[in-house]
Amino acid sequence: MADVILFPDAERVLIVHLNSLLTEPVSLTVPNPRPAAFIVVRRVGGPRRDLVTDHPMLTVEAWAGGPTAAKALLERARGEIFAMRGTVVDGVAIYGITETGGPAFLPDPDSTQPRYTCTLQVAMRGAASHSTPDDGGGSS
Amino acid sequence: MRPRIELRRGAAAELMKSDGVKADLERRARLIAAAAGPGHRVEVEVGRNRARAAVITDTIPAMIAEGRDRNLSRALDAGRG
Repeated sequence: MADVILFPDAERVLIVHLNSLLTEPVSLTVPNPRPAAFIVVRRVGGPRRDLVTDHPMLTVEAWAGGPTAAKALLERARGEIFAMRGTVVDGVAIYGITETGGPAFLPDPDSTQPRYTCTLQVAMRGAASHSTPDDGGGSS
Repeated sequence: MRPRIELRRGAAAELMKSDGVKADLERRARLIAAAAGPGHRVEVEVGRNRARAAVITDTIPAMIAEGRDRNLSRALDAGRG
């Protein structure tokens, strides 16, 4: 029998957490209608670190009325994410945060709204969902 | 008996600039560029302390694809193997 480990929805963990702390909306996609300032969190990869730890790579994108405001909004979100280390968020243990790409001004090709972005890896603990049935194999 | 490890001064820097490390970095960068799709180029150079490789968006469509869909960011995992 082997335990099947399921990992948390990393984007959801960050979105729920940031929405509880920031006044600007945080979501998985660009909201419609488009708010004056908002954050989008998207998973762009990241492998499982070990048996029970996922290491998702997440981009955080902050849009606002001007570059300075967008950068400030990103910095707030970035700070809150780094503060998640060693805590339990929405039932998920957060082991650590690694920054893959620091804050950068990344013009949005679809709008004229300024956007700042950074990419982080957040180590999160998974949980056993169920065990696989014995395949009857064993040693020969 | 526990193995004893002795670090020779300067050996790490030598290793990080070696042809082997350079080749490995280039291989990984090429995997990332391939996964990201057309319009990405690879640059490898040996700096003062280490070799490094970069995957760079080389065309306007590739830049737009990164800005809109994170094509290059999402390809990073291809370099882990």
